[in-house]
Amino acid sequence: MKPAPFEYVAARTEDDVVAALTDGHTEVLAGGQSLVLEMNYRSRRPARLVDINRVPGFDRLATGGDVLRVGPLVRHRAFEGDAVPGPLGVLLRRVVRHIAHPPIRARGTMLGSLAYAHPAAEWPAVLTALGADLELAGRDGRRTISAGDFFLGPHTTARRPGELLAEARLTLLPAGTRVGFAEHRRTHASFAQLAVLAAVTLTGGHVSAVRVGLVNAADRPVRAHHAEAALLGRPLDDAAITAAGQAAGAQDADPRDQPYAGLDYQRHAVAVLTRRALAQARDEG
Amino acid sequence: MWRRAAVVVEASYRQQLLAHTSIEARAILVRPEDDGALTIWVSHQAPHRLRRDVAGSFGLREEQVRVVVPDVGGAFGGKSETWPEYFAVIAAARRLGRPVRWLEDRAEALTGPPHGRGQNQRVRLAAGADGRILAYELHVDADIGGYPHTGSFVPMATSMMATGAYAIPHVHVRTRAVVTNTAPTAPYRGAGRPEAASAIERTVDLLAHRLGLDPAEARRVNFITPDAFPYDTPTGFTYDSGDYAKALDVALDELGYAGWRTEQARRAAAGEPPIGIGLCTYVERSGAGEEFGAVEACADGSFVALSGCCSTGQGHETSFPQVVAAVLGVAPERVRLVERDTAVVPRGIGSFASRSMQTGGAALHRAATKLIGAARQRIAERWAVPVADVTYEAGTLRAGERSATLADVAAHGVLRADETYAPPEAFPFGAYAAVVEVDPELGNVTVLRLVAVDDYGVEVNPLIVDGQGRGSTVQGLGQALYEDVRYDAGGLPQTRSLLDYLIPTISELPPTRFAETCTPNPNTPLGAKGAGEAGCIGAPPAIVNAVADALGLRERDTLQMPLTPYTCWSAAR
Repeated sequence: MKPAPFEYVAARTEDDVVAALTDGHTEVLAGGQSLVLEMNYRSRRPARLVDINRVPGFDRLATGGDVLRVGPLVRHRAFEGDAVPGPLGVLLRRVVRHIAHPPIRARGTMLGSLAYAHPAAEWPAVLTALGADLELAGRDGRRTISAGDFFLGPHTTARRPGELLAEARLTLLPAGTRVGFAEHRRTHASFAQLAVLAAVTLTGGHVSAVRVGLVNAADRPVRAHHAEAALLGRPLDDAAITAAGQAAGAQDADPRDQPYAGLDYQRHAVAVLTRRALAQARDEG
Repeated sequence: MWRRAAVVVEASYRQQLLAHTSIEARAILVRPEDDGALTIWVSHQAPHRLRRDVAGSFGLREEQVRVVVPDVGGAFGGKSETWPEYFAVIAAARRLGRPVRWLEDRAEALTGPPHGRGQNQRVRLAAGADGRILAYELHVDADIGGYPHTGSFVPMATSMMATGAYAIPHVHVRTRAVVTNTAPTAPYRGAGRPEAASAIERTVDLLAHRLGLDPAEARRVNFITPDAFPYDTPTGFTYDSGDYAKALDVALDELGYAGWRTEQARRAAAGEPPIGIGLCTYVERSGAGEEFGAVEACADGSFVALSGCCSTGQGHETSFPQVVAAVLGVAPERVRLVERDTAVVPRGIGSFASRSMQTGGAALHRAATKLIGAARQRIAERWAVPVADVTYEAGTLRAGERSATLADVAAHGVLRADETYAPPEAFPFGAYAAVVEVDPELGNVTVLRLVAVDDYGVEVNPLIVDGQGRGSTVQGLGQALYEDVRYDAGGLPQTRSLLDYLIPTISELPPTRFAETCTPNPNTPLGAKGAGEAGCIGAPPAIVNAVADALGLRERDTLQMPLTPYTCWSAAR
């Protein structure tokens, strides 16, 4: 349980980080909650780590206008309180409690989770469903990519060698948006087998805007367009919720083999969790 | 028999492979000494056996090998063996002429030997219309892995305990130890008894369901009655004592059985998530073979107790001095326990099979008694009075007006009594009851209530016994719902960390109530039976039976441990 030898660079500026990453053999050390574990198992053997923990400003979590900006050192724990205003804050608070446990939440980061792209991670599905923008910094400058285009498969993203995931930008959810989250796991401390999040806006008693995201229901995070379509323009009643669940399980989910959950069960469970997330959004707001 | 019986039930059960998951995995440090001798510090359960094995394998005399067992972070049967890894470490230390240490990490502990359990079982049970069992058949195929090790003996223990708490006239058991291409198996907390209890307890429940009997009643009509002890089982054991119906009554009472049945019916009528109630009345076996114990009085008024047992976290430092102090009539803090060092303790067997108090405690009890006899004899000679005139009380010997303490006697020459004692095996028993709720949509099992009633005979230290009950019950919960060593079709281990191999944590613990009945062991001076493995035996069948009850399953072959949500959902379809 010791890593292979590696070099260590303590970066002080974003330029330091980007410069260190250009060799193609360097990994970013943020919270280290997954990377260091894998290094200890020696399933990853980076030649060099660039530690971003001392870069001023990387821990910024700021709201400007209707946009929430999340820097690369914002820990999961930052979302447990009321730092994020409105319904988006409520959703993130409900989700974050399901991420690992307090010691990991105190150290691990949202952007680290995005870059790692574990199929059972909650944040990637949240950002995908909400249409967040991700900003990547490289030697040739910055580029922005939609979260929906960022995730390409398990532990596979559009981030190129030499790029730092420098910022995530989420649009705040308008007041009155109702949010819900439902997760299925085997023990309190285990990974999600499946999870579903929902954000619903009602206008005149009918669904005028909706986002539904699926965790671990495919090889990448899923925005459940079919489930959303089943809701748009309808009242958020049991029939609509059930229909959305069925659409999510049958059409949006593309489940993969995983232990203790056959494909039939996964589709069924996605339907149930979608229903429960939407019911929470309706009943608890 | 099978043709004539009013009812015959058949089923297949799976005992999944488990990992011992002691907090401390295996660990050994070997230091070669100048004269070819070896000093070995090792996380272990049976230091004297290890010394013998090492000496024999390396051509050394036993006194050239000193085995020291420091404080151990749990063992559960996985550290009583002389593992091949130890020989590799010893050979390296000898070759290099310098100390060599090996600390197993979690990934190694989960993928290498040992695993526990691992049985496929097939049962058949015949009964009359009144629920009386006429015959029971158990076929066991036990996975003993590659390079068979001590796991090879476990299925025999299952066979011997096949009939559990019941008087069954006809029994047929066939066991096969099957060599496979997985890691070798070894005894794991319970070591064959959980497997036996699970098979008979699930099958009695199946019988009750088939006949429309209350599962408590199906058990009562078949219990071995209190007047039948000592009871010779058809499989060849002699149960020492027991009152199984009483344990069941206490369990039902502690649970509030009738109230939960009412709640179950109410939920069913109201269309709420189903609950189920499951029972298990188990008998297990504890203690085996002899154990060494010695007590020495010191001139400073203290006492040293030596034991061949080997605490791996059970608190012998507390409970063994308590035994000695009670016999001597002195304060327990004046007695110091020494064990786990072959250079100081001349011989011993170790700690496994819930044997420490039953066997090692009894040996110390006898040694302390013997010490008083030796002191009286010596004082009688010194004072020239008949031994019968020398009395002993609370550390002091008296005859007429004269008195002397044990310390005085020790000051005149070593005062020590050695004892090796081999009481017969004991058969602790108990009754467990579980209430579970099953999420009808996702299959999640929530244990709403767990009651554990155990009869360990006389409890020397109730707090320590309580700890054993709690720990073993949590491990039983783990087997029932979470734990499962998995390999893929190509034989590659799939459970390499505690993210893959799930164990219950504090967040998974159900509201649990522990209670006891006390039927003293008639075969030892202490009256103690083994207390260490009960929860692993009693909890799983109670939980599985409760889930089967909640789901109203007629056929239960699909309901195999661990009862994951997917398993329960699939079984209910």
